[in-house]
Amino acid sequence: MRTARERLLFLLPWALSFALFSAYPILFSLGVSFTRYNPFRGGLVGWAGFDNYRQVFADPAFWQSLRNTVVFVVGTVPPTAVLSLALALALDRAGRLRGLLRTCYFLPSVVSLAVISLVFKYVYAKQGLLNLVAGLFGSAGREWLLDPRYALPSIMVMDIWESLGYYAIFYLAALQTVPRELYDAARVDGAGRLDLFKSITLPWIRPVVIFVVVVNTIRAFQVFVEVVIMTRGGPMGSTQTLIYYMYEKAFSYVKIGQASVVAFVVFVLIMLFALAQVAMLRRLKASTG
Amino acid sequence: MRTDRAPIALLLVVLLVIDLFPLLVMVSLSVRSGGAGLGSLGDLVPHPLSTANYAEILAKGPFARYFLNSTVVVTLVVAGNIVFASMAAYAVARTPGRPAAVMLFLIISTMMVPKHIMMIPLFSLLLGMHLVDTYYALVLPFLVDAFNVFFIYQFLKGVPREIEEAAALDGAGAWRTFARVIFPTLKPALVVTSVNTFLINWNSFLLPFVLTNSDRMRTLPVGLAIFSQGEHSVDWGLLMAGSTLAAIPTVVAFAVFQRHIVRGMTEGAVRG
Repeated sequence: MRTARERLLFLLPWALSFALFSAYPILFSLGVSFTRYNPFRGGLVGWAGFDNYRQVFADPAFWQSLRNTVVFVVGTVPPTAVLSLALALALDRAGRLRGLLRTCYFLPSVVSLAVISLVFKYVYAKQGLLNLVAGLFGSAGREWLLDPRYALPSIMVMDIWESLGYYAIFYLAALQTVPRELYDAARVDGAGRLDLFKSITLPWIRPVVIFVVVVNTIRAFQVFVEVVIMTRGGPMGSTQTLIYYMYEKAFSYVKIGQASVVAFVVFVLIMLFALAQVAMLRRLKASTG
Repeated sequence: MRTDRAPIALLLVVLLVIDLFPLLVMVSLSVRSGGAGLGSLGDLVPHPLSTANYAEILAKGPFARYFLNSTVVVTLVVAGNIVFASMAAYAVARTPGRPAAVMLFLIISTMMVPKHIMMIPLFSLLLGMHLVDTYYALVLPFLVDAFNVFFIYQFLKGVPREIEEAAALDGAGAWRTFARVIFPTLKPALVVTSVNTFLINWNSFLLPFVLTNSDRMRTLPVGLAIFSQGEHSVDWGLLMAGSTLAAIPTVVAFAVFQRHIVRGMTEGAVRG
């Protein structure tokens, strides 16, 4: 491995993959968003200027998708961040059972989201598990996924359930790096348990909190699998999300230009979040020296 | 704090039952006879136990084909990542100065690219090459995951250079040095890479969903999802038998390689 030629040869598979499957899709989405494009009719049909952008931004369904997606992000990311931290704190104190419990709580995360969605289709069905349990408390039961008021929240609850154990792993790993001496010293000074959490634990694991929030936000912005399997955007568009809207535009209506507008808008949103994370972590490092 | 350990552990055990309840129900429905759901919570423990759903879904329809497709695709993708990601990682680790920094920047940026942006371009690209609905479409785009390159690169930084310099003195070329000297030392990193790549691709839905359109080429998660949307009312027993079969390999892999999976997840992330 001494010559540049040898190194290039070793890099070639990655370089090809990078060019075709990372760089090209981004450039394609940006470029095609300004065209009329039909992959079934030989590709480029003509330039469209900002037409696709105008059409998408004039479409009430787009705004509904954006609103639903924001509701999904805001309704899942903070609860997941808080609940998985609570779970990690509890696991950290579970003594000998810690390892086993951690494994069990993580289990839903190794099962395909597609499978989880199918299972929850049963959970939320009219004759399903949730109504069976609700029946014990005298509730008549409802069609969770067929009611515009409950469909999106039902998917959100499932999402929180599915990701709890996953994010708890990151918190748990971070909790184990907190130096025990810090706690001992603070306890000598008469600090209570809540003081310990607020003044030692939380500042120590703050980078992981940011990591969890950002990673989950990026994921939540792209919510799609649950929607396509459980509700197909319905009822009455109540679970239509941005990526599902993009998918329908592209694969049901073959409006590739408009779909690419959505793809690119979501991409930019996500990159802004990723950059915000880097900036926050930098500031954190600067302030803690 | 010793005193509060037992109650916390107990609480966690109780909550765990609720947490895993949906998965328990999945297994329970799969070993009941008939395709209806539970009539009451008492039906949760099925009697008599029946493997009829498993026999039916494996014998009938394209389910066995889905299983085969998932197995073939994941095997090729894992093999590709083991070879190509370590080659790239090695090249980056042995490139001096600025070019290495540029490559690392590209690799890390790639890790952040959201998958959704690939759906339409990848479909158009593969359609143009007449590769939609083939194994090529399910394998090629996933052969070199940037995260794996980065992970192996991090590991390689800790491997001393002396061993490969000795090999070079013996007259071994770059490829031989890589295959005989470097590759074996990467084993711990490659275990993590393999397990993660297996889990991600076995469970993958988004792109396989878009890049296939016939029963011949569906992977397990996609095939199951399509099956659940058939014209007839859902047969929960069959569906949950299929779901359980799809979940078993990942659960087993997790049980066996737990420590590696957790390491792959938290390394880097926790250190910020």
